[in-house]
Order: sequence, then C-alpha cells, then structure tokens
Amino acid sequence: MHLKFLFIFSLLLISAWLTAQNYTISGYVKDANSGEQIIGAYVYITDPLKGTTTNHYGFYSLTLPKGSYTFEVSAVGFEKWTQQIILDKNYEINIELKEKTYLIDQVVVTAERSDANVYDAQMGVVKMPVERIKTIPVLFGEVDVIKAIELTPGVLTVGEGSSTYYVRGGGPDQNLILLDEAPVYNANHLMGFFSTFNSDAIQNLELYKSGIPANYGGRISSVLDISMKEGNMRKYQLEGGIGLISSRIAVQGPIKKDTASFIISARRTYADIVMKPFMKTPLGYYFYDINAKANYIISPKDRIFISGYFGRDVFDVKVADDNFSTNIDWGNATLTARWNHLFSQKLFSNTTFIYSDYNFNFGAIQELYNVQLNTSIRDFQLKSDFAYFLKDGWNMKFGVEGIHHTFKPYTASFTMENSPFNLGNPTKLYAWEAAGYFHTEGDINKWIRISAGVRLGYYQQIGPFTRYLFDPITLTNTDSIVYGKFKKIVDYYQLEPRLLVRFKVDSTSSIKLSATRNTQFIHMVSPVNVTLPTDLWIPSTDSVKPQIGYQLSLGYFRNFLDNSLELSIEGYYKWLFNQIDYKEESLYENYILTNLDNNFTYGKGRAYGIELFLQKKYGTFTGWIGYSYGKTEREFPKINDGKPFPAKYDRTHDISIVLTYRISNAFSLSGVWVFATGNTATVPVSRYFIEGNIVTEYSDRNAFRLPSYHRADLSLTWYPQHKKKSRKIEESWNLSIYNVYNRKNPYVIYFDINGDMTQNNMTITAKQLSLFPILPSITWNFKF
Amino acid sequence: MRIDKLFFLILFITLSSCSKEIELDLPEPDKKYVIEGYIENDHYPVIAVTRNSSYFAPIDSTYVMNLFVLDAKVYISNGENEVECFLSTNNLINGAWPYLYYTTNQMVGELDKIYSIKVIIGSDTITGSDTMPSQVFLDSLWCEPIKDNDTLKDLWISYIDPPEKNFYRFFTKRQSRDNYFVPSALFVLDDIYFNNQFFKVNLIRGIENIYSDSTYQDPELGKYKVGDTVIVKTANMTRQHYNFWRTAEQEIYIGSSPFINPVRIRHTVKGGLGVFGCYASTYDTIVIN
Repeated sequence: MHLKFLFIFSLLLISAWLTAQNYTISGYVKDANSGEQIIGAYVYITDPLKGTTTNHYGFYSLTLPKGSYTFEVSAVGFEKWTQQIILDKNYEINIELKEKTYLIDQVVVTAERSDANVYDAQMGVVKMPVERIKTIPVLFGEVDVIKAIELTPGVLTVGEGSSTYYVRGGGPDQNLILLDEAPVYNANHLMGFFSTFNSDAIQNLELYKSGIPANYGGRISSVLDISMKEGNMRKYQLEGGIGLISSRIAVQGPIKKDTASFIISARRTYADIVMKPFMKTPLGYYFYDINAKANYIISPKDRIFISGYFGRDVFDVKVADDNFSTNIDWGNATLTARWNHLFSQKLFSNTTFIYSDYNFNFGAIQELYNVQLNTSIRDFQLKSDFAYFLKDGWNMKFGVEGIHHTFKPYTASFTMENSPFNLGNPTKLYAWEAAGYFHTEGDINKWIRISAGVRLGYYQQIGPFTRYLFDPITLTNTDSIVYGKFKKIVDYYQLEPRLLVRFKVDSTSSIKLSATRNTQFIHMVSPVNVTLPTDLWIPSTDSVKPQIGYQLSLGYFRNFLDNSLELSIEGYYKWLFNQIDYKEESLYENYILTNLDNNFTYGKGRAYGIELFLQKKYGTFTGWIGYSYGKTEREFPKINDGKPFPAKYDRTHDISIVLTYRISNAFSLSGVWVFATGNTATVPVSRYFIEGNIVTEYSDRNAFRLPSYHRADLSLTWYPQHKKKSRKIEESWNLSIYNVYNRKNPYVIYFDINGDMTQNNMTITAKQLSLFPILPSITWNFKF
Repeated sequence: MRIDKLFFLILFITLSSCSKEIELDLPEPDKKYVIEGYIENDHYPVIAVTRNSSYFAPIDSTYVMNLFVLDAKVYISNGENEVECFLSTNNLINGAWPYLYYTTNQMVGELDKIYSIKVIIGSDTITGSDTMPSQVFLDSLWCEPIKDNDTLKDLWISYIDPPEKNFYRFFTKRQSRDNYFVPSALFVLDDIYFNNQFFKVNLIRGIENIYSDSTYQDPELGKYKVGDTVIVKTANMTRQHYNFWRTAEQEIYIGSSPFINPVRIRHTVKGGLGVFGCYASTYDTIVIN
C-alpha cells in the first residue's frame, strides 16, 4: 500500500519537473590515468552555483534551463576541469580528471575547493579517499581504513588498536559495514588489531553517523560504505607493500582497454612462518585476505561488475607434550555482482546480487576431551536501485531489495572419552527481509535544501523452527511449537522516515537539522566485553523484537579561508529501543535445549553528545582536529538490578588531532594525537570467603573509570625521486612510530593475588595491562 | 638487520613492561554478613557466619579469624522443631574450613524435609531455607591408568541419572591425607547434559585452595596416588542451592577476568550474602590401584 503511494507520488513529482524547457548534461567522471570512475566528484555550474556529485559508479546528471554556463568538475586529489557550455540541447560528456601532480611551490588554486560541507544537506558524514588515509601513521606498518575513521569525532574504539568501532553511543552490531554493497559481519582480523579491509583494494569510504539516506537500511547507528577499486582500464599495474608482519600485493589492468578491467589484491601475515624455526611450539596464527574485482562496459548504457572478498584467520596449535591441539578459524566471504543500466540520461539503475557469509569454527582436543563449536550467518540478497536526476540538481533515489538470512547462532559439542554431553541439536534459523525506499534531495529555494526519504522494511522469520515455551522460574521448557519449512513464525513492518534540512546562513555557513528513525531486524549478542569472532548473530523472533533507533541532530557548518578550512559542530540525541543482552543471571546450561532468546533481556538505551570537527583538506599542511563529548547508557530489567548503567563505550571526552605536512616532493611528515576519557569498568568493591576461597563482590555495572587514554604517533614517508624518467617504479618508504612517548595506556585492569591463602599470607594489588609501548614499523610500498 | 631479528626486537619491546601496578581509589564497602551453611542427610548442620572486608585488605591469620562472627544467634528448623546452634571450634584443630561454625547435635538432616535457618547478629537478621532432595547412588567407580605414569591414576565414576531434575556436587577425601571432603573443581553439574541417561565422568581431584602455592606444586594435582583410599561423596541439590555453587565457583575460578562481565552470584539467603542449602549425599570408597 505504502509502496504504491510512493510510486504515484514520484510520478507526479517527475511530471511537474518535466514541464519546463530544460536540458540535461550527463556522463561519467573518470580518472584520466587509470580510466577508473571517480566517486563523489563535485559536478557544478558556477553561476548560479548549482551542482551534484557523482554516484558510486562515477555517474552524474544535471538538468538545467537553456542557457550558457561555466561547467566545472572537481575531486580531491585531481585537477579541476572547466568548460563553457551553451546548453541548448542534451549533452553526454564523459570527463577525465588528471591526477594532481604535487609540487611544493605550486600556488593552490582556490576555486577548486568544494563547499560541499556547507552546501549539502547531508550531515554526520565522513568521506575519505584512501589516498588520504595512507598518510596517517599506522600500527604494525599496516594502513587501516577503520583505524582512520576511528580518528574522527563520534567514532570511537574501546580496545587498544581495535577495529571494532562504536558510533555515537551505538553498539558494534548497529554499524552496517558494506564492502561493494555486501554486508561484512565481522570486520576484524587478529582480535581486531587489523581490519578486514586491505587498503590496496579500496577506493573510497563513506561513513554516515546521522541522517542516513533511505537507500541504506538494516542498522540503527551508522553505515560504512566501502567501495573497492575497479582496476586500471588502461595499463597493467603491480603494487604492494612489504611490512614487518604482513605483506600485500595487488595486480590490476585492462582486460580490454577502456572496456574491461580487473584487480586482484591479497595479503597475508607471516609471523607464523618467520618464527617457526625459533619456537618449540610454533605460533600457529596467520590471516590472509583476497579481494578481486572485474568490470566490463558492455555498451554506453550497460556495465557489469563482479567483486568478491575472501578472508580467514587461522589459529592452529599443537602441544605434543600435553596431547593438546586446537584449531580456530573464522572469516568472511562476500560476492557482489552488479549491473548498471542507463535508461536515459536522467535515469540510472543498478541491480545487484549479493552473497555474504561469516563463520567461526573452534575445535580443541586434549586427551579425553573434545570440544567443537561453530557459528555462522549467511545472506543472499537481491536489490535494484534507481536514481532519477531532475531539474536544478534535484534527484530522486528509489529501489527495492530482498534478503534471505540463514543463521547458525550456536552449535556446540563436547565429548569426554567418546561419551557425549547433550548440548542440544544444531539449530539453523531462517528469515527474510524486503524493503522499498524513496529518497529525494534538492534546493527548495536559495536558502533551504532538503534531503528526505522513507524506507519501508518488512521482515519474516520462517521455519523450520521449534519454539520452546520456557518457564523462567523452573528454567525448563513447558511445551513446544514446531513450525515447518518456509512457515511464517512472526513478521514485522517498520517505517523509517529520514529527513535532513539545510538552512543557508550565508555563502560560507549553514545550519543543518536531521531526524531519522532506523530499525534493525538482525542482532549480535555477546556474553563478553570485547568483540570476539564468537559473537553470535541472531534474527528477530517472536520474542526478539526489531531494534529501533531515533536520532535528532543539529549542526552548524562553516568554511573559512575560501573553503580551505571546514568546521562543523554537531549535537545529537539518540533513543534506542528493544536493545538485547544476556540476562545477568543466565548460565551456560540455560542456553541449551531451549531457544537461545529465552536467556535474553530487552532494554533501552540513550546517547547524546556534541562533536566538533575542523578540517583542512588542501595545501601542504592538511589534517583535522576532532573533539567529541558524549554520554551513553543502557537499561535492562535483568542487568544491574534494573538500574541504568553507562555503556562499555561511554566516553565523555574524545580528541583526535591528525596533521600531515608535505615537507617537499620527497618527504611527508604526519602526526596523530589522541586523547580519550578512560573506559568504564566494573570493579571489585569488597570480598568475602566461601569454602576458604576469595569471592569478590563487584560494583554496579561499569560504575568505575580506567585512567584516561592518550597517545601520539608519527610517520615519515619518503618518496624516492628517481632521476631516470625511464624507471617506471613509484615507491615509498613509510616509517611509523606508534605511541611515540611510550604512554602506558590501560588496556585492562586486573587484580594480582600474591601469597598463599593456606599460610594466611596474601596481598591483592590492582594492575594495569598496557598493550603497545613505543612501536616503530617500516613498510616499503611499490607500484609499477 | 635481518627482518626476523627486527621482528623479535619488536616482539620483545611489545611484551616487556606491559603491566604496572596502579592505585584504585575504591570506597569502603558496605558492611555485610556472609552465611556458608549446609545440612546433609544423617549429619549435623554446619553454619559459618563471616563478614565481608575491603577488597585490598592484606590477608594474615588474624585477619581471617577476625572475619568470623562469634556472637551470632543461629537457629535451625526442620519444619517441626527449631533449635539454637552453638559455636564449634572443632575445625581449628585440623585447620579445615570453616575454622569456626555454628552447629547443633539435636538435629541431623533427613531426606525430603525442608530446613530453614535464622541468624541474628545485633540488629541484622539473615534467613535461608532449602529442601533436602533424594539421594543418587553411583553405579561404579574405577581407576584408569595415565600414560607414562605408574604412580598416579585417573578416577572415574558412573551412574544412571534419575528422571527427575538433579543437580550435583562431587567431593573426595583421601583417607588420612585430607582433613575434609574437597569439592571436585568445576563439577557443579546440572543434569541437563545427561538427564535420565547413563553418565560417566573423570572425577578430577579438587583443590583445597586456589590461592595456595602448594596446590600448583603438587605433583598429584587433579590425580590420585596408587595406594590411597579415596571416599567419594555424591551430593544431590535443589536448583537454588546449585545456582549458588555454580555461580560462586565461576566467580572463584574465572570471575576476575577483565574481559567478561562479572558473575552475579545467586545468593540463597535473605538479609546477607551466601548460602544455606541441603545436600542429599551418598558415599563410596575406592582404593586406588
């Protein structure tokens, strides 16, 4: 019903715009060097200033009244393109932007700077080309896109060097991470010290913290949209890097010049190989990942892309003396197949098939004991997105999608000398989702620009499934209902309105407002405080309701010095409902032989804060300063005696300063300084004795704070300037120093118990464990 | 410098001096009383009353003795009679926990009866109640050899779990070596894994105290020495009694891990911390050979 209404509304809107005498300029914006599309290039006319940005496929379309215009295209890292156009017919212009060759004494052309920060209605967004991320100092010599976004305000991490991030008080499962549109369910390698994203394979990323456009759905806190590189359309390239604990290599090139190209990139850690000769028990850990993508321009109107990711972490240890062996492996696999079709100069479509799989497997054997555990989530998704470009920079996006989920939240077995313990039968859960959306953006008048949309989501949990009716007092199943294959168990509808309004104050400043409702049908629950590969994804069921998030945000945006300095101040308030956690009293044995959700408690949360971001994108000196103040708490009936408590990721103050100075053509120096209020913790408040052992009584949940966190990193990058022009290699050496002043930041606190209880002689001291002291690393990057 | 040497250098830097002592400014805890009480079929009750203390207070013998409350009024009832308990010092002689406890010789545990206690300390009153369940009998117990070791053995037990809900604790006592029945560590068991089925398990010998150097230096850790006579006590419990021991044991063994939310101990007494519960026990003896 709602969809029908939207469709009619869209048609009316289209016909209203079509009545004037207008012409359209459309086409693709490409990198002149590689022939790859440029995402987010700013395409505009100067008088009056009106424009649009290229979409994820580099496509733009601008419809204007008949007239003469100065038409300009700019993108970060490229030289501006300008042309006078007399618009008296439709034009299809594919524009190629030249990469900016960096010269230290070059006078920076001010006109190329974009005022998108002030002009766009979108707020709460972080856009970062990977090239910029590559200048930031790194841990272990590995450029990491997730670590870079963690340096922006409103995005924080709890563990040292962790790739798990939290956005504006939302949990880790409330972040949608898309790699070429495919959801990535676990973005961590090596307990989070590395993210799953190989920077060589990535072109661009966008993070939405508020006002998430209606084409994105499924998570209530944020969307991180990562686009993989497409592959050079004109020449073969080999690039890579050799670091201390991992190396990577990427090959790309044309399959057919300017028509089809590919890119394959891979990396692997090799601590296991390097250390093998030195250790009696080999360090059996490594991870690897492979990204691959190919695309083919079938006709000027049609293009297909196929991309995929496969990564695994493997931990394999055998201790012969103790007859002990363990094997743990986990990882994601994604596959995306896309078809771009241009119905007309104004109507762009993209149809996508997506497969995503995450699984975790654990096995351990010691003499008589054998433990096996695995969890997984697998999705098949089909979606169709349309973009319709109207007059004067108005555009509409609409589309539909369907997803089928298979969850294996928990399958475990335990045997003792071939005698099995009953841990329940392996259970698979099934659900499907459908959604339709409509979103439009444009200028209402000279002062007001809006971006508004609505998304309608439908969700159904389907059989086979057995619902155990559970008595919470006796903790036993009193009855069960068995649902057959494809049988509906429960369904939910969710309407998600999204509204963003920008009021222009003057040519350099604006005020923006956004209000959104987001919902989420699938959830992650974790019995521990850190994100582990064992975290379970579970569907909404008749007792697990969809999570709902409301967010209001208000911001002031101002550019200084001819758009070279961008300032934003954003405040937000967020309400979260149907939050899920384990009941504090739940014991492992209560999970098995019943539905897992019988052990959950459902609560609510709220978060509010203010963020300040000052950024300089252009010139020899670039970087940003970010500050955020925030508070986030949760409240569950079965946790902390029902009292509200600060979330693990409640962080009062968070400061990041990221600066890069291009000393000369050959050298670039970067520095990072971060400060954060200490993490919350639950600490012992008293102790007593039971059976002669010490038993601890704890404070309220997260009632204590660890010491604050701060750290500085530096990096120096040397780009050797080869005198012989014939030498085609481009190389760089990156020396990074993590934690320059060797701050011993608290990773966790623990309690060291010394002495002998039976001798009545014991002391307890609090200790803090710090992970990384000053840590230099060097990486050689090459490209030829 | 070769890359592997560099790697080792960095690994060394990483792993050295990662941990340091810190001062935590914790408030003085609220004063609470702790009950550790049980009654077993055919045995007199044992009810220890102690106090909590600040988490960092250093522990010496005076400290531990001072935790025991000596002036409590302790009453136990079997639903028919209520008797007042007296303070026993029997355990002080052999150093067994609890060093001081309240008991009575006017009441022994009987199957299927409901027992309740009332402990009065000044203006505080603590109460608790539990039901004595049925006994469960072992089918057999036997020893299994350990690879490359002639002097130590593994001890196994087996039985058929009755159809009704059961919760178990197992204890062992090596005659003339142990002063009391030592609970088998991590063997507080819910029969959910083997309800109404034949069940066998390797009964790992319990440790008297996890904060004792002698525990970890003991070459017999978890095993049984050939020649020893071992008495196995199999105790059946109610769910609430089980919940206390299950959560308390989890807290004692893994509670201080910084990565997990602390265990919420399921105290069974009202007005204080701790437990009062019934054990329906059976005893079996084996000579390790």
